[in-house]
Amino acid sequence: MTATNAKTVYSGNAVHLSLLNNGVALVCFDMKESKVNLLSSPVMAELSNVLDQLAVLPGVRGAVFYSGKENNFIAGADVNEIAAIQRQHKGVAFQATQDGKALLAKIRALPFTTVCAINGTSRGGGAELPLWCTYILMSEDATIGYPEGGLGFLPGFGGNVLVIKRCGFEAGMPFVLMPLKAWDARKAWKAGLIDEVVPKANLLERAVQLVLGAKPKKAKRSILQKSKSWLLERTGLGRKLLKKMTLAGILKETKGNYPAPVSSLDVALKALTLPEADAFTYESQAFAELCVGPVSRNLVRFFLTRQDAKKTPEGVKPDVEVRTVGVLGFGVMGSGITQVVAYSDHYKVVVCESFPQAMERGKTLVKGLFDKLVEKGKLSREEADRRFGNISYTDKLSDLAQCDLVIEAIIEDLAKKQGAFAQLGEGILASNTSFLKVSKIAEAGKRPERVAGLHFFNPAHIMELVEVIAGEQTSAETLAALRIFASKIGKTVVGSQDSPGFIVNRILAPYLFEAIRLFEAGVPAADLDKALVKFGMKMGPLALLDEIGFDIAGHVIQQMNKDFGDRFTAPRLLKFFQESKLLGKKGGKGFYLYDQNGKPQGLNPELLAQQGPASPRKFEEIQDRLALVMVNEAAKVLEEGVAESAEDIDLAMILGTGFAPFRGGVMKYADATGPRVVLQKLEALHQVAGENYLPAALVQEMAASGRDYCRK
Amino acid sequence: MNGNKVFLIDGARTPFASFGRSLKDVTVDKLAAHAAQHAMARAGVNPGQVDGFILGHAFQSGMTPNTARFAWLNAGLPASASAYTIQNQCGSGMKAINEAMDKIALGHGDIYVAGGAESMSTVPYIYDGSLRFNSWLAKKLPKFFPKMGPRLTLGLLQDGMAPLHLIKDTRTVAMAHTAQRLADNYGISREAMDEYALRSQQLAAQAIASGRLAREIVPFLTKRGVFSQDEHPRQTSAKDLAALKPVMKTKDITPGNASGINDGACCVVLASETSTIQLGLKPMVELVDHVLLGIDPEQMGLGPYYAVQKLLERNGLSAADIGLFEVNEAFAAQYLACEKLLGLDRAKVNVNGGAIALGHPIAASGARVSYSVSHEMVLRGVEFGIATLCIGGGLAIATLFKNVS
Repeated sequence: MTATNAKTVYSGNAVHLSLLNNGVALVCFDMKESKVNLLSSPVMAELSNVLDQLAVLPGVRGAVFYSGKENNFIAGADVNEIAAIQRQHKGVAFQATQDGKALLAKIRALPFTTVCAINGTSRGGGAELPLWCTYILMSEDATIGYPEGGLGFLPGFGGNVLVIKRCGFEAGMPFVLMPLKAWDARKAWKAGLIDEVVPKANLLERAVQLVLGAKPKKAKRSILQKSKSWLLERTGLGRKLLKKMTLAGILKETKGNYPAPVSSLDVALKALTLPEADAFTYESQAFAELCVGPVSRNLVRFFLTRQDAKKTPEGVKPDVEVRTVGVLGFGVMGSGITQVVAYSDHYKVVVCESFPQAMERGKTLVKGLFDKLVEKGKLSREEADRRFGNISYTDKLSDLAQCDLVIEAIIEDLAKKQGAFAQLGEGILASNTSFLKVSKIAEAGKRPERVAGLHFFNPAHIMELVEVIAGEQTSAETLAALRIFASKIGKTVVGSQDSPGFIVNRILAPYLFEAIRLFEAGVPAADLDKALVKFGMKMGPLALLDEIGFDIAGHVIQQMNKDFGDRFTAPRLLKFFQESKLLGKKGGKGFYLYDQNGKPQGLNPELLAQQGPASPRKFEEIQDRLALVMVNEAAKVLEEGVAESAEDIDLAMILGTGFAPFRGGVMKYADATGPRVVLQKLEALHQVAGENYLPAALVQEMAASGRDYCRK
Repeated sequence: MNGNKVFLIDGARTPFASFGRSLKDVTVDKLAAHAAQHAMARAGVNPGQVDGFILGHAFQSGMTPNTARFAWLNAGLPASASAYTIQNQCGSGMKAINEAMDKIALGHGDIYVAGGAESMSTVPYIYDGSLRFNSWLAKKLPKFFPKMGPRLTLGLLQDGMAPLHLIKDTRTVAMAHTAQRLADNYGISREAMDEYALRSQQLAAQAIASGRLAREIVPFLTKRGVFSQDEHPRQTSAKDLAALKPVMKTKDITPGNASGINDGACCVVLASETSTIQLGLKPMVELVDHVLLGIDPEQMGLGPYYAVQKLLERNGLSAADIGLFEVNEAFAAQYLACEKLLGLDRAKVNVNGGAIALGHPIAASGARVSYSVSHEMVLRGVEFGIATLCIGGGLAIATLFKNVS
């Protein structure tokens, strides 16, 4: 967006001030050498300076705030700066938000109309700044949202209070509470958060009109709505009701593990009752408490390590430039991978599948995935069809010879994989194996240095994690190429050595294994799942086993048994699954029964009969037993060098298994518990629960030194 | 002292608040945890590495058992650190540090967090528990009343800081009288006391203005905003001080020449020589030796004289070898008596003001004087320093520090 015929008054690194002939001042955010605008502290300082100039500039009738970027207004604060604040005491966080508010209050204090014209994504601080203006306009395709909740704190630049003041509690609270999904312009307009939705081309023009006295077309609220909000917000009883209802919703969602939404609610209620200045102070207090708390620190660390993992590796240049990607095998994984690659629109995809039936089934699957995106409105029909057109099909292996990268996703059988690799070309060959040795497969390839593992997680189109596995001979260039490829298709990469189960499955296997053993020992299934959901896992271990399927879980445990010996001797129950052909969710029966749509319908009575006499345990005991077995295995993964760092393990476990993000991952959880307490608990568990709890050497070493597992 | 060398790595304290002001609604465990966590952060030590947390806490105000343990766990710190609470009145904070010293010297652990915390604003009102059994009602209902366990009891409550039966007891609570006695014995005039009190206020004001005290403090966020500076020091003059009336039926002891009633906490991190090397910690001072002794309770203020003398003697030093002193200012009269007996050079004592200006949150003071003298020794490049306190009940405590920075 640009404005012609304006006289430049000030032009800095990120903020620019100019004046139109008609007395309308334009404040433009356009950060040099950055794709998006950030509200970092240098930018804030510049903005402060510009606002001071604006206040004394003669002949100004009003001001428009807009962005010079194509599709971005302001992407929010700089998370690195927040991380730096978190390392200090609460007072620093409090002061930072108070200062931020004081700065933005200068916008409101200007003696004329101010209009914020939002032309694209507007997040965090970028969604708070507009609230200090008289009017807010949004272009049709713009979105606005507070991702703060996802980082464990709340909007601290007045956003929490001002949203409630602007559009009331009922409409505003959902906006403050949603951490992941931003609102589009229309939704924000309906809620009364913004004043008008404008076609993108007219955005600036309309903003100038508003400054010059035009009135915006606000969403109308009925008398009924108005009186309802009055009753709820302006009466003590009403507010009590609001609090009760909202809190119940929050606790259901967060299981009490995330303090930010509860604080947000508190601040919102204070916004209804306290004088504004006091409500602002209260907001800053709440921000400071949350910001330096462990939950927020863990979430910020997760955010930053994830960001780091997406960066292109430095130093090593790949020796193959990937343009065409071959996918060998069109099963569930193959089709998921195909869709992800085709959707990214960076590559042509060639799928090879020798069974016509499987080919058809795969095509339908991929088509279905694209259709779903269209249904959800994430992709237009034409765009979906075009990207679907990135895929071509063949039944001959030789057609993959020209591909720069071939991802193999056929049956887990060493001989078959080797057979295929022997016939493929000189490009990079990546196997999606979950538990075979990549180095063994590589032996069959023409150039073993170009063979690596590329382990996607099921469902591949959703799961963000990809493990890149280095075989014994894999070259650094190949690994670099795969990292670049994975981040281009939107995945986050964690590197792993070629060791059984790699990182995620290796750590997850004992967890599931011990869950089965606890179930066998008579711990009620519902307790097992509830305890771990309360711990913060996305789903309980038994529900997860159903999801994975007992065939696969059985394979993994058998393989672990081969690789690691007796400590993974298949539980009795697993044999029962295999004999009675219980598959889990996909077969409609596992620990739970499922209806046609995959909704759980209560416990499976067949399994209950296999369980020992009921022996309920305390939730804390179940949590200890299942979480610490992961810690112990993760310590082994770290000491064996399978994973490079504790940070990698944490990232992989959160993204790959849904390990409680607010705990920061398996290793961060160990640090929070304390390395010495971890050892002591493992020693105790070893007495009752067997070899998986025999403390790893690293666990002993860390306990002796008391050092933290994590460096960051 | 024999055994392993012990070093003070770093520390932190809350700003000290006046009674019933900035920290009036903050529980003692929160104050203690704040000081401990920031001390560890400044020292560069992981909570998981800490072998123990020893906390001085003179007036049980937390309404929790073992204040040290409760504060540690409540702050979400790893359970692997041992924890206990020391009650030694004004000596509590220093005694905690001395305990940690001994443990490390004996090889019972490598890293300790030690200090003191006091929330005098929240010292509970108390009620004699034996009334469960001896009260009129208990005697009327013998089958019912004495058999009940802990319960709410209504009745006459007493202030836990000064229960009625002790309010005039000069051996435990009525410390002003012991100070007056020293003034009488050693010929210390009201003018000398006020002059010394003014010095304390002036030096504290300078130390605040220069940012010297801010080096020790980590600000505390309260409901009313960021509390970042000691609030007890006040602007005063010789004239103002002279106008104050004596308290508790003494002749010369006024609120102006006595220490205050305050809230605050201070903690330091101590480490053995081995762990200092292994972890690359940067120590400020070595803790060389310490003394705790008993004297006549009626002259408890003379304690520092005896304690320092013993400490010097045991280490083959004389007062002239000591570059800096922190002598807790319970009362100006009490300090002046010690100064006279020890022949102290005032220029080397309490150079940033003392408890008369900064306040005296009982258990926190012992840790504050230790931490403060360490800081000052590093800043001035002084070789030896001593911190010492008199203790109600006729005890005295002192610690000898050696600069290693």
